[in-house]
Amino acid sequence: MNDDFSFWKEFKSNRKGVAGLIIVGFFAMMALLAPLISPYDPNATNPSLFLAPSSSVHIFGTNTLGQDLFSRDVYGAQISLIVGIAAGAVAVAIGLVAGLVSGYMGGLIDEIIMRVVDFFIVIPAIVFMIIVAALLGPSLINIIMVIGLLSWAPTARIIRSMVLSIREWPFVESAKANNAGNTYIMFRHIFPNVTSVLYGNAMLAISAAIFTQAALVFLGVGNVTSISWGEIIRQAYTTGALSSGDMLYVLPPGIFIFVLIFGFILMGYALEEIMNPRLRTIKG
Amino acid sequence: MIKIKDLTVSYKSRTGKVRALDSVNAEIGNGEIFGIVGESGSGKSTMAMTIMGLLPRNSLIEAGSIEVDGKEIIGLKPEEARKIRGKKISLVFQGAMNTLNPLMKIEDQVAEPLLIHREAKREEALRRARETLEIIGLDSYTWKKYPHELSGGMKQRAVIATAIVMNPGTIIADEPSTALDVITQVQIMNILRRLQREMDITVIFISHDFPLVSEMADRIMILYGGKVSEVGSNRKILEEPGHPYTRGLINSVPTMTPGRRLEAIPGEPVNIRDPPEGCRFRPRCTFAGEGCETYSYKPVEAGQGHLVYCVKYGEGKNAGSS
Repeated sequence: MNDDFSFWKEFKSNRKGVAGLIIVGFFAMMALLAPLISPYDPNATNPSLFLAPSSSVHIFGTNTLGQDLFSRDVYGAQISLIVGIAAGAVAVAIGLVAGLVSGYMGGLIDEIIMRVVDFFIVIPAIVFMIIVAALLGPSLINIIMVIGLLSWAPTARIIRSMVLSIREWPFVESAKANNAGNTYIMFRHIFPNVTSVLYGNAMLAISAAIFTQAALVFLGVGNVTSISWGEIIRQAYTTGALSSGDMLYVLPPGIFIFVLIFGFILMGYALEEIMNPRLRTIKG
Repeated sequence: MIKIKDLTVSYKSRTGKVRALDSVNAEIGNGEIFGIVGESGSGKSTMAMTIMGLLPRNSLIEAGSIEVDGKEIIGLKPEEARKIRGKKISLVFQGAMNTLNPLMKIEDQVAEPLLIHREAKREEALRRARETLEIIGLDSYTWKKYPHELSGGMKQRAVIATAIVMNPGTIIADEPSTALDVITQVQIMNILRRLQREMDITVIFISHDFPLVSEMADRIMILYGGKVSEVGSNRKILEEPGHPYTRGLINSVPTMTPGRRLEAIPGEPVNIRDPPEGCRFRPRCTFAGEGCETYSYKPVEAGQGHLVYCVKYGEGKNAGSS
């Protein structure tokens, strides 16, 4: 009976989850095997191939420097996944702790944390990130931290709202009667009860981070020398390829961003359905 | 030995201060089952919470003292309180509700107090938890289960196991049998009685169920509107109830005698936001009269530690048919 609920079994029978996993898995393979998949060194320039059109040797053509666009699109998956997952993790970790502390402690601490959350939710995040990223400089770590540190607010709010109800459950009082400290109760008793929301939320945070990273690079913030999808679209825009209608320059990275984000969102839905039985649909 | 003296506890509310307990005195001897009976709002749970140091933030201990084995526990520093709360006295919650964390295995929850108090390392704690579970009648089949996989009675047993795993001298059972069917109730009561007999644990048994408490307890305290109305040994109270309220409680217990009409206590429970002057039971009491309005809750001795908080009893004027 104990093994009745197997996470993997549930996940496998969830269509959204499987679809999401296939998509994310596809891009993960692309990122990991980039050196094998890509036919050219993505940074190798070839002046004779200025904006070469699509051909059997360069399926997506080349950019102004004669770099193979297909190879660059393949390598772009690396940055998106790294920044997405790392920044998402930072955001969720901070949001989790802030939400737990805020909801559990209440009072002045809650008030302060929630006003900070309000601030981050009201401020247009991209504008704020551009300023902070410009001040910090364009390294990969900085971009991850900027995205992570500025997008934890929604997670904190959701976690707090759950903690507010969970802390009133008798088992919390029971733990207090056994002399458990606040930190212990927060992490040992309340935290496991909010994970159902946390996993789904983490997936959403990752997809948001992927999008934000692409948007920031497109706007010229962050490391424009490393290969990323946002950077490819930015180049297409600045060199005029976008306006001249070179769709194979712009569309593949754009579609990759969209599909990867969609994959994470699907997984997020699936995780939420699995962790929260009330959302589970009856399979017919 | 727990000595409660003049304990007064109030809650702050928007409409003013509400006294949940008003100058309550009690002495609970080692190894006895002490029953506390009262209707909702009588202060019985507040008493448990005060002893456990679990009062909510909006509460205030206005006066009084609680001594556990001669040591005052009100106003203790947290690290001093740790040595008593959970260790010498522990609380048995209602098991029917989410007293057990739905995401923790039974054995882990029972072992938890040992880990929190750093009494044992994980392996040792689990071993002791399993021992305790066995004493309480939960065999190895349940150890690795989650709370939702157990029945109500099994959950209540697990909750009791959590309370006694530290070998406390005293357990406070606050409505431990509520929401259980009668058969399971009996089992739970038997467990509590066994703990008292075999492990010499003092049991403070709190319930609104007068017949159940009178089945269980060696001594009974009856609370009404935050005040004690009668304390005494189980037998004395059942055979010679001194307070009209106690008599009302006894008479309102259904019996199997055919044709006997069930008597109810007239009126409504006291509003403790605005209690009447003098005796709080006065508005509902058939014997109310002169002296009741100015009654200062001076107990009347009825022998063998039996105390009745009623002026009319002192004057011998509340006997007869009630």
